[in-house]
Amino acid sequence: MASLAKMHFGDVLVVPIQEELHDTAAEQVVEEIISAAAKKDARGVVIDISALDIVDSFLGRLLQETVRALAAMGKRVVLVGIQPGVAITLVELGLALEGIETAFTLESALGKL
Amino acid sequence: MREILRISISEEEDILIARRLIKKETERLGFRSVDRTRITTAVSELTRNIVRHAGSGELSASADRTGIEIVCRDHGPGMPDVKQAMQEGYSTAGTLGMGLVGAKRLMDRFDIETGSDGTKVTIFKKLR
Amino acid sequence: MAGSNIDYEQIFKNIPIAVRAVSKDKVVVAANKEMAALTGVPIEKAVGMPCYEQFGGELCETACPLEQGMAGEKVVLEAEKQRTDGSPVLVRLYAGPLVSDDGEKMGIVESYVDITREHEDEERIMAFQRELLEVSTPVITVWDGVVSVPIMGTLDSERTQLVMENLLEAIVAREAEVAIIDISGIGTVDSAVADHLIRTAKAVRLVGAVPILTGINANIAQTIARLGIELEGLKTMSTLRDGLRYAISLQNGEK
Repeated sequence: MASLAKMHFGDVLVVPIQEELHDTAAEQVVEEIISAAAKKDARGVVIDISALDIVDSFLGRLLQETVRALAAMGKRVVLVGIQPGVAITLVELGLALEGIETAFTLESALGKL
Repeated sequence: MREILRISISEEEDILIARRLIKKETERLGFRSVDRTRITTAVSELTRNIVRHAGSGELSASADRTGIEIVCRDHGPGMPDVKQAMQEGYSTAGTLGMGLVGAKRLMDRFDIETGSDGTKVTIFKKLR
Repeated sequence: MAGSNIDYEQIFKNIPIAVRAVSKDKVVVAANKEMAALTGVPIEKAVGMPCYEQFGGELCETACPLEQGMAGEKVVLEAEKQRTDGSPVLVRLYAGPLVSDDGEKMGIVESYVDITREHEDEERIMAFQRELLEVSTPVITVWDGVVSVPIMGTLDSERTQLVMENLLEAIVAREAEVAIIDISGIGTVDSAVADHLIRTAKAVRLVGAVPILTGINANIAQTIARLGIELEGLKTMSTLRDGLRYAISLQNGEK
């Protein structure tokens, strides 16, 4: 994965996942997010998945683990852009990502942080 | 039922390819948006199982006006205790069981045959 | 008719269902009047014709019933076939073995029923049902950023899916921050219904809105307590009004 787009809004790191990723690429992206959050000492991280229309159990769990890791580092996380279809399948898969903050727009996500 | 798709699955990339093709077919067949998401997600789960646990296999899909049937076959080692794997799927870290349970929850029919010569999972979604 | 001379040939010719007999070499050996009407091929021309020419379609390539039928299995299929003028017709096909008196398998007998009307009626009923479901669970914007959906009658798995889909789409389209699910019009609440409601609430949270359940009257409250149903942190109120007041206070709190 050549470049993962990362944006900064003050001390909040915003990472948009812009395309479908296969498993290994997804894990790499997660590593990059975590190390970037640590390096820039971000207060919060917004992971934008509005471009994804499919989130399966692998990615769902990966996101859960990422949020937990970032929380362990003392960073707040907001997941942005979970589409209705994705929300329904996640709930039906039993991965309702409870305890994880979500927002539909970047604006409200930043507002929450 | 008319066969609409047949692809071999052996690498990670094939999971994404399978998803893209199934997404396109279900759209062509007129499935509702949410059902397209369910079907594609179920396919993602099953093809991942093939890649991770069997090494290689095949996905075939057939459809008619009642719905779509997708069969994922592999010649892997099989699953000695499928029932247990599916029960534990969510509590332990077994992605195999989780994938099967996930696919079952998203589809209208789910059937699995497994033995030492491989595994065959058949799933079906009604066209609404 | 009772008695000896029953003319099977006359019966075959006149059966009000399209019937034909196909040899194992895929040649039509007999066809009745109804078959001629269905396919557009007159009987005299049909006999001796390849079966896929008299009445063909994709089915001929993907699931030809000849083998299965000859093996003795009763085959029932639905498919789109083509008349000789090229027009498509949706049919249900029944095929079975054609066996001679000495038990020799000669081919298959097929009968066809035109189900185009049946199919259209089914589609119309499904569309009507869908519309009915949608009309009975409209999503209303009750305040800026607050939407509400009243659930009337029963809440089964099918209905829950529809409610979830409509509600989530509305939340996203109208950028709602709060979704009030009102169950004052619901029939009974048992663990299955509670399950559906909880799932809906989880999906609402995932798209970034706050779910509130209203319409919990004394009866429902007692049932929930008695059945030990865990509403898992879902905010509940007895009236829509209370729910709306709470929703607005949430918004003010945030601003």
